[in-house]
Amino acid sequence: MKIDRRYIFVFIAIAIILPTIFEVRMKIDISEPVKKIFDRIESLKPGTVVVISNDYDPAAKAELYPMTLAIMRHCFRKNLRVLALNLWPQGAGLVRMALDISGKEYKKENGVDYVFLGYKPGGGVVIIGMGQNLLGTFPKDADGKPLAEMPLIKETGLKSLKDVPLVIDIAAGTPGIDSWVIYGRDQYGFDLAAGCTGVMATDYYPYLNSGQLVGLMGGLKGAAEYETLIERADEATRNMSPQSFSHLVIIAFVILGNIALIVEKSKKKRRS
Amino acid sequence: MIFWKRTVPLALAFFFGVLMIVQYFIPHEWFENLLDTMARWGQIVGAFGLVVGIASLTHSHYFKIKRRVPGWGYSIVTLASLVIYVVIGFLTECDDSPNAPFGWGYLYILMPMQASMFSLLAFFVASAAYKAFRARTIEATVLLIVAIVVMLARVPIGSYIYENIPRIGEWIFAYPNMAARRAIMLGVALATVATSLRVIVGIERSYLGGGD
Repeated sequence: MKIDRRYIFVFIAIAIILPTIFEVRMKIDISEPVKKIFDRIESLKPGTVVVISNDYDPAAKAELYPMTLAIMRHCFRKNLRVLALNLWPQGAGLVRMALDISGKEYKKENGVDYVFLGYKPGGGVVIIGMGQNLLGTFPKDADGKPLAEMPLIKETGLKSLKDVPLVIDIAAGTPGIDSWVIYGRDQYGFDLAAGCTGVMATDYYPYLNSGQLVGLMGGLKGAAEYETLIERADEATRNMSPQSFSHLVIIAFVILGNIALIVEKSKKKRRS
Repeated sequence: MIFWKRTVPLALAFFFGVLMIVQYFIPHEWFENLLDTMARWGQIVGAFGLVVGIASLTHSHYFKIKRRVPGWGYSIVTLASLVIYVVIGFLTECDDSPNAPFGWGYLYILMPMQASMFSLLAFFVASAAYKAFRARTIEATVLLIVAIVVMLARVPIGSYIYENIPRIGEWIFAYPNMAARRAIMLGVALATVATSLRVIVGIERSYLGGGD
């Protein structure tokens, strides 16, 4: 049975638009890999530095930006210090936006409670550089201020990734989670947690099982779970219902296609 | 010429390849400093990679415009955007606050365009799923059932349909999926080791270019 694909597009559009307009709220179950990230952050003492690497661009904003924002909110709520960076050039604006929003909410000061390092090309090499000598790799922050003079660096005595207990990588590809596991976590010994797009999540379960990742957030659902954990429902939680209904529409069309296949087969059998 | 084009690069690849393997196993200060220096060199090479990328993009689109290949108008847009954004970046010191031209362009042009392109996937995935997911064989049927379970497990509505759906989805990720992924990763890792050794000892020479 052939259906004009424009009908499928219309159904998908309806499944996305209506729940968005009527803001259908759904209960969100928490999965263990997401809970583990939350627990690891909860276990850190106030003042500890957490590195958040944002390795994505605006194409993955819908799934990954809510993760960045939720993680930053959690860190600031716990009075942790955040060192944010990008390994992708086009993600810098999103990180700055998330730092501005979450920083203002929790009255955090740039240079004291958080530092934005910006983008540096090189991927894995940048990670090795940070592991060997942070100030050598990033002598200045994204605004051009010397890193060595910042209270966050002075007060914590941060020299390299060896002094950091937790790195959280939110990534949409390479350089990303693999780079942080191979060049970072395995060499410098910090705990690594990760967030990624839904389609990538399956790739990282071996790291989760081996303990190379302490936790994993997969796709918009992962972000919504984290928002639920920090009791701060936002974009990801709101977008769960359009995603739910669009998945249902896809499943309905798949079932419809298979019913048509069975009917066709039985007709052929009868004819023969 | 062969000395500079082949012998020197091969010798450098061998020397630095062996050196980087050795440093990994010897946690001495000298090797730590060496790795630090190498990382900085790597960053410089990475920065030059951007220059090469921009040069390649410009070259490719310039010739598309010159030869009036179909769609050459888009090449004008690409090159104009590149030049305008670089000039704005230099003039405003890449000020990415929303009111500055650099930040405004990122926030109101680049971000919605990239997000829109990615969003279109939802429609094409739906159409492709309808066409491709047919239970023609036992393997295809298993794939179909697993796909439906995982799709339901990745959204909250799944637990409204059947409360254990998220747990089943997580089990699929954590066991059958992980086993398959780990097998692939081990294969890739072994192939990477083999290829690296071939490059270090000079058997694999494709990186020299020219089909040598």
